[in-house]
Amino acid sequence: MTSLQQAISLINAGRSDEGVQALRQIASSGDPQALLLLADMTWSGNLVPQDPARGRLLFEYAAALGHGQANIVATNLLASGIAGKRDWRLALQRLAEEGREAPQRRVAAELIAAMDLDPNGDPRTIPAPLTLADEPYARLFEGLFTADECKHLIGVVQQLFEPSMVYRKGQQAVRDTIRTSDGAPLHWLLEDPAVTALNRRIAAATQTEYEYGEALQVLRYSPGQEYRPHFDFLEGVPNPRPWTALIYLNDDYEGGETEFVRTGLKVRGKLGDMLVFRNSTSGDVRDPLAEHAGLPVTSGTKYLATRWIRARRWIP
Amino acid sequence: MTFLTDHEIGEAPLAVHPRADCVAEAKRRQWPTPRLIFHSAYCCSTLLARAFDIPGVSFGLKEPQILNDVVGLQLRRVDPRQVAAAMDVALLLLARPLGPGELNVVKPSNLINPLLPLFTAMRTDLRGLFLHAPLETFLGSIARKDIEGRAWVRELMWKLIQLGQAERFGFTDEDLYRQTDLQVGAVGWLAQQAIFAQAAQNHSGFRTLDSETLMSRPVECLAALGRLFDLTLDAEAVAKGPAFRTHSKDRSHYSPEQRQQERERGEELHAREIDMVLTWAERMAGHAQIPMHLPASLLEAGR
Repeated sequence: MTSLQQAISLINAGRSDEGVQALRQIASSGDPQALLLLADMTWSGNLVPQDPARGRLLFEYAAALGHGQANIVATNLLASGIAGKRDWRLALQRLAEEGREAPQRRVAAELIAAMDLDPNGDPRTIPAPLTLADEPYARLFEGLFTADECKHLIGVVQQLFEPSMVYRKGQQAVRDTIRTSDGAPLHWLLEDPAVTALNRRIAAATQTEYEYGEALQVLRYSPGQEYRPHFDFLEGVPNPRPWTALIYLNDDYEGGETEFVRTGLKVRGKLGDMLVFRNSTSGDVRDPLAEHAGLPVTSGTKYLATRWIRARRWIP
Repeated sequence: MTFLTDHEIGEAPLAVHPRADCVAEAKRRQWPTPRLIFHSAYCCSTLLARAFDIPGVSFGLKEPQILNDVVGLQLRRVDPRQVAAAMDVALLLLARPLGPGELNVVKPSNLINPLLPLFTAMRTDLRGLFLHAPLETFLGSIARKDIEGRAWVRELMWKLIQLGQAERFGFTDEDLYRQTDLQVGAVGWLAQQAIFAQAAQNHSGFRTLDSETLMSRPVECLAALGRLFDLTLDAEAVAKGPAFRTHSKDRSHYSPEQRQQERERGEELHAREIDMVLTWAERMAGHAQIPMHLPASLLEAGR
């Protein structure tokens, strides 16, 4: 049988069909590393047909055979219920086990322990928001996130910052000078159970469902960086984005307000505050008043988390 | 013995070996992955598994308990890692040939069907058949079996619900409670049909077959299965053998004609009920986008 290294070499040499076939054989024989690779490729649709549910089973199988990284991913998906069943109680048990060896898992477990959650992982209470405006609909939830939670979100994505992408009409994410922040999607494989609990809190506050949310994005704006006026609403897509939630992860910077450019409303959230606004009027029509900008940061570094919320189930 | 369950093995002498030793030996030997006959019940699957009792070629394992135990773990909602590990061990152990050079053909209980995605994720070289009875025949068999048949479909459906298979229909608990026995049977059949259709579309190692075709064209089916399973077999001889001529459960003489007569009698007695449920089920299939006829037919030209 071809070795895993040989299979990878075949793929790297452009002989991907042979390489993938060899990788499948090695994975079928129960090699955890090959299973992890195949799981990741299957999840993302890299060289093999995309099938998140199957990818998740492969992560679980690799975890069953003792692969630590696969185990962490599988626990994350068990907590979120993305591409399969959700079992919050079991995910927390597994997170506690993982926390014995991995410090970041321990942090996630401790954050969850400090939250007031029901057995489903949802918040028992949500504070009433401040009304900022009705046109566009904009509300501010003060202190919805703790300082430790904000720090955790930054910590999880710290290694991943890359130049931000924006949607264009062809629905492709492209690099664009309109947004000069650095952005990192806290994508579903990385979304640990603490982040899932935070995303569920966002869903509860916006009276939407967790399953409607896109992966949380963490943005970093250095001095001079900004997001020029734009709309978050996506036109011509079957499942539009009626809601945006912005969480201010720090407040030790200058400038960087969120401005609704057509009404003049400016929001300078404090650490842990969440701004929620509606991108569409009734139905699936863009609200022109929802045009907004992230003004340039003048000093310090601004960290912001964004959750775009779709009209219907978004997660696989 | 028909099924490889503890109940049927009864007091037969057993050799006991530590599981870890067996697994290590199986990994060392690298036996080929067993061929699989998945089925949705009342479709001659036991007959077909028996047909693969061909000394020197293959052996048919019917409803091995070890796979039922994997389902049991899933039903108890244990950690998915445990389910995956148990399935891995089961597939390793079921690969062990009974005689030298033989290949095992495993017909699991149909309760395993909801775990099909796990099978296909874990063993990419799987080759298998999805065998089913046409819905009308299936409902006739349930009705003919009287209270036992009706109780059986309710039990099956209950387990399918536990395994998350009712969700695709969007029924409320009240909807399910109000369904008649044969409606419950039809929903169970459709749920399994959906699992088969998805797997047959996505995995090239699978083919589908209905029991009517198997019984009316056994030689062609066996020859095609020989090719699918990579077995050298004399399809004509197997079709004339005991699997097709004796009853699967008690080994009494049983001809295809008798089978046909029994079927017609069942369908005749309950014709009105079956017709009503058939119409309803076809509508349900349309809503849930479940094909009444499966793709990737075993006898399809070019496959």
